[in-house]
Amino acid sequence: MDKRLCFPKLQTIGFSNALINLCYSARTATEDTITFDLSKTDFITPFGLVLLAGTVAECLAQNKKALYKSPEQKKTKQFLSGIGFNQFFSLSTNGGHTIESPNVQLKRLKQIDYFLTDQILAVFGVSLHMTTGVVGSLKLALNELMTNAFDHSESSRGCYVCAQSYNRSKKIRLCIADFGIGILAALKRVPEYEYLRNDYQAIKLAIREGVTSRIGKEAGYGLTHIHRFIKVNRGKMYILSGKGKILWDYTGAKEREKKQTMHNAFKGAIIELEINAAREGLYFLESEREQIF
Amino acid sequence: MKIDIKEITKKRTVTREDGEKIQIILNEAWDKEEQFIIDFDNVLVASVSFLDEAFGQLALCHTKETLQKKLKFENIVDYDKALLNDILYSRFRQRELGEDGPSIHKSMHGKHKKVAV
Repeated sequence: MDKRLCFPKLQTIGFSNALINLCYSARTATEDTITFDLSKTDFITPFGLVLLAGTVAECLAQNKKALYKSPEQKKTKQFLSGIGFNQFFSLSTNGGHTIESPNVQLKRLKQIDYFLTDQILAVFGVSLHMTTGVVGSLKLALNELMTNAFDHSESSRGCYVCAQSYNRSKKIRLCIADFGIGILAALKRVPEYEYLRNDYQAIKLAIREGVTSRIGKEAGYGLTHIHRFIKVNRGKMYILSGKGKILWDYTGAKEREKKQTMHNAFKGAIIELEINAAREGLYFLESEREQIF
Repeated sequence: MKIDIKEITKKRTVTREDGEKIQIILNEAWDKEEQFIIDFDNVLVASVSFLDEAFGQLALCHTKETLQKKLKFENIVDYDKALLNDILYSRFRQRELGEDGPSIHKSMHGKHKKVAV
């Protein structure tokens, strides 16, 4: 028996409800073959890529067969091939190409990969002028986000990472996702946070300094620091976990915090950053004040 | 010697070409003047290109001590000051590592070519 899932034209976090519904259908399907039909897809961001790749991996782990119908648009097809998506379907990369703009290929990690963190920061470094202190602190924060993803997944599922810079719109998108137990369940393991009642509460708490699900460990720095960076950068940060999704939008004159409820819960956590690469300026830490002048 | 940024640049403090105007003045008078007083008149520059072309490249051919002695910045906003310090540190590091040192050094005293950052 075959179940065909037709994916939409745009696979971005703005369409998270529709995309999570499709991925939920794939994970809960009783059919033994799932066809991921991307023939109508024109544009896919790191969010769409990690969600799709993770869902494919989940289906394969359930001993389902995963089939793939590639996009009709040649450019989209080449993009998917170039960014490493085909590896999830063991497709041939013939006809693929090298993506010219800086990017971090779609990766599934089973342990922390410090080289990958360096690659992500190299993508940031193409457009952003940062002091070594900022680079170092972001490295620490990103490593912690990935460690969180391993901790939360509570299995060998690991985490998915993908980054892409967009020269025309002057943006960099970075997405880190795990298909684990979600932020609420992870935090509720800590007696101090047992009071949490819903995903929104948990997501909002997770970005506060020192809040961590790792009992007895010095952590809770990653999301706080990344959030602070996005605020200074005038970018956007999305966190999606369970039925909750929160967007922190610092792009306009007015800072916005927007909530959205998912129809189907996403078991895991997805963090997508939209970094503003348009403004020339220097990012430095408050502590870096040793000056020549 | 006093250098009035606002007056010389006519408030155009964005590009490398804008910064080059300051660099030329500094280079031409470097050996004659004991100190340059550079007045920003609290204008926010916030441009790596401008500050690097105007001052950053001095760090490729002079020591920190020489720059501290020769240059005096007045009415510079905190953000630009931090940006300037970072650019200078990064240029000092570049000189220590010897990355493109000779060609950049030449461009400083020669034809004022642009240097890729």
